[in-house]
Amino acid sequence: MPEQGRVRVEVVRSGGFAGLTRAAAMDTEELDGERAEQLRKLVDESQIQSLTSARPGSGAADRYQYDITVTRGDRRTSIVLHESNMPDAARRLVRWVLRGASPASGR
Amino acid sequence: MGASRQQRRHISRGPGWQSDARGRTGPHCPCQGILPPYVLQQIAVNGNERQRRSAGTTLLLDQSIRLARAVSVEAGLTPRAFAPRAAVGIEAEGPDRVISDAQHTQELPGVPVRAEGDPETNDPAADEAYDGLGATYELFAEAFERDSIDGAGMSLLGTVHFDEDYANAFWDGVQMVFGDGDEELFNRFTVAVDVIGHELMHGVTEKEAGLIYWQQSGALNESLSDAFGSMVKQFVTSEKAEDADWLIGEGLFTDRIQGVALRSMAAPGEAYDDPVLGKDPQPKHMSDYVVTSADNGGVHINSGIPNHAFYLVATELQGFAWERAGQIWYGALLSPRMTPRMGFRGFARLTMGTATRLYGPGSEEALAVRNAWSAVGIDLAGQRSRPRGGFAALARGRVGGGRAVTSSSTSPWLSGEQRDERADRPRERNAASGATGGRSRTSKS
Repeated sequence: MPEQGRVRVEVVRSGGFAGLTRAAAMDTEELDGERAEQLRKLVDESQIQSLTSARPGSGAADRYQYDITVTRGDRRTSIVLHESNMPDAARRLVRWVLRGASPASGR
Repeated sequence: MGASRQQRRHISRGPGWQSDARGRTGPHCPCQGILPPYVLQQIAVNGNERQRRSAGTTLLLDQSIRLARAVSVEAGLTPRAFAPRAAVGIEAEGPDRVISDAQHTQELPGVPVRAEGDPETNDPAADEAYDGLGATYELFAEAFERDSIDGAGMSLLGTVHFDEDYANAFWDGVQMVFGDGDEELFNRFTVAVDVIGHELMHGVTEKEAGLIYWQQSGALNESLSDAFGSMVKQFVTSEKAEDADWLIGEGLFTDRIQGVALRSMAAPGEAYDDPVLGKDPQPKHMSDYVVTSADNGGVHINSGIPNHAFYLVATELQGFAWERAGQIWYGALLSPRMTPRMGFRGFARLTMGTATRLYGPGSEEALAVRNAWSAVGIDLAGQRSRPRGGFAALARGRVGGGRAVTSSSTSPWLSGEQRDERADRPRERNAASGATGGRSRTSKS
């Protein structure tokens, strides 16, 4: 098994045409072994801790805003990303968390 | 008039505004807009009836814009670049639509399924998008003399079936994109024609004003899309302002949701109240302005305030909303004083100036505009009938200098220019909290 330790990801999605806010959290301590590992992998791939928040820029009308907080051990990172210009790996993480991490909808 | 679209584009690609401060132009001076004034004058004299009527309107609009520019020059303000704005189509050739299918991926634009003039596809989403973009094009061409998003016949690109379970629609700077909903809470987003008009209007606003999608300028951007989207719906149903429902996104909710639509311009805050979704969070008065860092600073929330102002103007004036209220809002959007960081109050002043310019000081229209903004907590009493310099100074002098630190002020993604803008922010805070001036309608004391 690779490096253990608790990883928790919280996502708040706001905006969009409807302007509705949705929040979800995933925590390795609350997931079974396989899905906990999946979460760790998605967090690693997203390199979320090295990203910086970005403004939406133009051409972003009605797209989603994601407020993401990743806690890994005692290190906590908060970041604001925008649907229109976020890296694909971060997009996969956000989607996985918001969809309740069911394996079928991991993509 | 034999000028083809090609030729018109050639003419409009000139180096920009070259006339002097009084708006005089010569044959070697390509101007903003599609055709230079001297050509319009020719059409006004020699064209057929529709062309004459159209050219006459164009000239009027041109003159009003030039007058505003002359005023701003006299006031010592630097006129903003005129680039491709004030789109006045005098012989619009009709829309050029292409609807594509993303086939439930995030790839844009996807596979083309219906181009201009093609028969129906039997895919409701594709056909609704095609028809909705057509209706929006028609409203802009007929009521606002505007030939598409850029005023120069730009193709209208729409993609349907975007992504999976995607309960959203958006404008990405190039095209309009529609999701199918999630089948649980939301139906497909093409069912509401005002949603389609809303997305197309984002393109118009981007071309004309570049309103930054953040806090008040973003909420104003949203509100313009709702106002023009709603007018598209009223245009399609041929409804007058006083008879229209002023709902945004009617039909988007599945029957599991307790609500009539996503937003209501007539009654912001009352569109839905549902155990799952909660209650419609829109305010309709500055005293209830929501300060938040979510939703790009509440752009879909605080848009309720200018939304309601537009509704009040349109219903006060009665008749078709695009005849007068729409002209005032559109004229304000095209105003040379429009800036990317425009807030509610600045925009309210622009509508006031536009109403005065179009209909005269003290006119029914100017009065309706003043009363509407006052009703939503933006008091324009005492504004001069024609805007003069020093807007910001005027605005700052009007309210006291309260201060509020909010979550948004610590947002990591404020740009430098937006940080600068916050010098102006206390007045918004004051109005928002209802803390000063006694303008709050609600009794909070």
